[in-house]
Amino acid sequence: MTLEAHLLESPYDFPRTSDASEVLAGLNRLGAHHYALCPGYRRIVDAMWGGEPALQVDRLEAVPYLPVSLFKRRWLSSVPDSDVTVTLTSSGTTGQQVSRIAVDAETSRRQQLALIRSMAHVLGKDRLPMLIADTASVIRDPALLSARGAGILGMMRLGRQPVFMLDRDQRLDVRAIHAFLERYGHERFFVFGFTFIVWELLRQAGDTLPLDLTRAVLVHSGGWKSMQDRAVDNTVFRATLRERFGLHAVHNFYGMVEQIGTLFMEGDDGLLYPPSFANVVIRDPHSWAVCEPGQPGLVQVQSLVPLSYPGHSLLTEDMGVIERFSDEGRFRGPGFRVLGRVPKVELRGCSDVMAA
Amino acid sequence: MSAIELVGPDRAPAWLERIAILGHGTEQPFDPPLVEAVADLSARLLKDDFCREQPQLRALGYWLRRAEVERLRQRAERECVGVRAARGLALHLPPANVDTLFAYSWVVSFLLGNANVTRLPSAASPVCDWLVEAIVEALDFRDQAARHVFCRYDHSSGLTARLSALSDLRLIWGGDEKVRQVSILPTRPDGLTLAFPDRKSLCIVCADAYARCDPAARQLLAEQFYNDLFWFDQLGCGSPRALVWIGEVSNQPKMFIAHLLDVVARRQPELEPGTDLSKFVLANELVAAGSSDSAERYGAALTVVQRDASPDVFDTVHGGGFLQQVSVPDVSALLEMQRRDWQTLTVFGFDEQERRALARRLGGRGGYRIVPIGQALSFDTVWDGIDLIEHGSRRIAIS
Repeated sequence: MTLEAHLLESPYDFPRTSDASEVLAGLNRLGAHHYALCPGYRRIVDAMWGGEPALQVDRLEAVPYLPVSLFKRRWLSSVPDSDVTVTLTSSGTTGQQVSRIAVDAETSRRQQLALIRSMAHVLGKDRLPMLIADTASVIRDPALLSARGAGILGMMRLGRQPVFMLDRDQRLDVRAIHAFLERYGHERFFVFGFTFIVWELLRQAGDTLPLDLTRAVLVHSGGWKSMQDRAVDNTVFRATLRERFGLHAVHNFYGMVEQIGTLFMEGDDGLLYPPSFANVVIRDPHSWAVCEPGQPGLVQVQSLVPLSYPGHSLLTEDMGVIERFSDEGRFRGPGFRVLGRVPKVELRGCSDVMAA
Repeated sequence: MSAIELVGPDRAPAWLERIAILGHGTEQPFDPPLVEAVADLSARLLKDDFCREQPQLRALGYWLRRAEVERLRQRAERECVGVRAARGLALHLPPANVDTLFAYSWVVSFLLGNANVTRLPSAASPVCDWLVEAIVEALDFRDQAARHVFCRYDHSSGLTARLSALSDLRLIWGGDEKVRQVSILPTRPDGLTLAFPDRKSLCIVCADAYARCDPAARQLLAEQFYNDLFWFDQLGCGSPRALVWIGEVSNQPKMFIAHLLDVVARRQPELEPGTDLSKFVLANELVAAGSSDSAERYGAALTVVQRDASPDVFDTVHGGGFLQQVSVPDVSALLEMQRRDWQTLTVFGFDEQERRALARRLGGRGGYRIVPIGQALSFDTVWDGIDLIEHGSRRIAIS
């Protein structure tokens, strides 16, 4: 079974063998591909992983991995620069280095396909009317077209008749929301946005107008950091939306610019599941040995999507925990939660600056 | 009243007036009350419960023992023709992180009979604050506190400029940028500035000598190297950034790392996963760039990256157990890596004659201390090539 076949199936329905042997075979193939075509990746495999034998391994966790931040420090590409059609960048705050990801036409196609099939799994085959928890400015103003804008643009291809919940002045567009619900509120519709914006906007809208979301499918992403500041975790988030607005179909997803197209999607049990062409490994934060389910550690993500850059196996700076393996239902495989970032540590030498 | 004075804008004018008259004292270098106050402080540091968990404070206590101070006194006397006198008012600007360094800077100046103003890093540290309290208590007991000020003030207050203008001696510890910024502020016309900017250090091991060691000696060496490597998060000026093997190596580096890992396993240094990840990123970066052809993560504590002999090795900065290993055939090849900002060479397997020969070849172009492994971070009154006793005092010539 080839990767193409995996992707063309609905990614979460594909029968996932317990050893995920198709993913392993694909990762081994990708390793050899990047080893042959990306000099930086080849050097890393040779210097840190014992060379080519590391590209023919028999367990997912034995596949070599790169630290995700490496893409902030080095340009790593497995295609000639002339073939790079898009350079994806992460949304760093000012002064931070951003990741730069080399995407060619083929990898771009794979990303699209992976995204569409993954989303179809929760949205169904038809394009649904779409309500966006954001302002249209983020896709119109090139200065704002960050990962946030790009994410919304990508999702807009999956819906129809998009309506933004915020007007240009960042105020709740009550009239537009009302009109949308009048027109589409009785059929299935799609709501998308970044987690903390969705939270704020839905609650604000609910204060002003009757908000019936029983027919809605909410997909949201962007991390829980700003939600934790509001003391809202996923359980509270889901319960509040369900009780207040009748919203049952809620899907968070975990993903990163270094593996765009690969969505670790939240199932009905509130856990995140890899699509059939991907995998997650949790490693002990000190030893980096593979953790048992229930034991928190560093999140490593693996995906068969990246062809034009060696991003198929990445050690992230997030902490997570696999709660259980599911072998039935709409989502299968390792069900995990993301617990937040590994704290950054500031080491200081005697080379302090004046202000110190 | 707290031992540390916080100087805000409203207090500054009166405070400066008080400082301005501190410089004129009658103390002579190594006057008995000065020596006694330091002996009291040393005893406290070696005994106090607080210091039991703080190796830096114990090291300071050890350095200040009566016998050590007596050794300093004898050296100060021996090396002086004529009469040695205090210099006047000294301004100490210690670094932000090495929280005991200010005490070394201060105590040498104190023993020489100077008045002292020490600006402490703005971020309070328990070790630093405890130490200031201990110093001031020891001074009070001997009636010596009046001429010594420990303070914190805002960088933007302009007080560094005002204090500099009153100073006969100014010691700037920290990065190049800090030295640059402070150096443009004038001291008294006959004032002297001693600057201790960014420095980088390394460890050199004679491969032959190491091969001849018995396991016990290797174990001991690993213990000593462990301290050099892990104290101050490996970011002290004297912390080794590179381990350079001199001569032909076979399995010595492997043995060295294995012994070091034994010590790590026993001592279990405190390690943050974030530091470990960031070391991993740097190792990957160097390898991907072709700057290293071998790198290994030996658990969370230690990442070792093989580098070619080049001065660039010292541009790579990472603390917390990031060791760059280099192998060179001989000392000449080592000197091709030499840089002006080298500070400490901790060495193993070089006898005194060889150490002297090495010093002559360094020739003042970088590398100002050659000391045994284990003493990378020990303080000495000759620092970065500057004799603090000589420069912290004046000589009155007599004929």
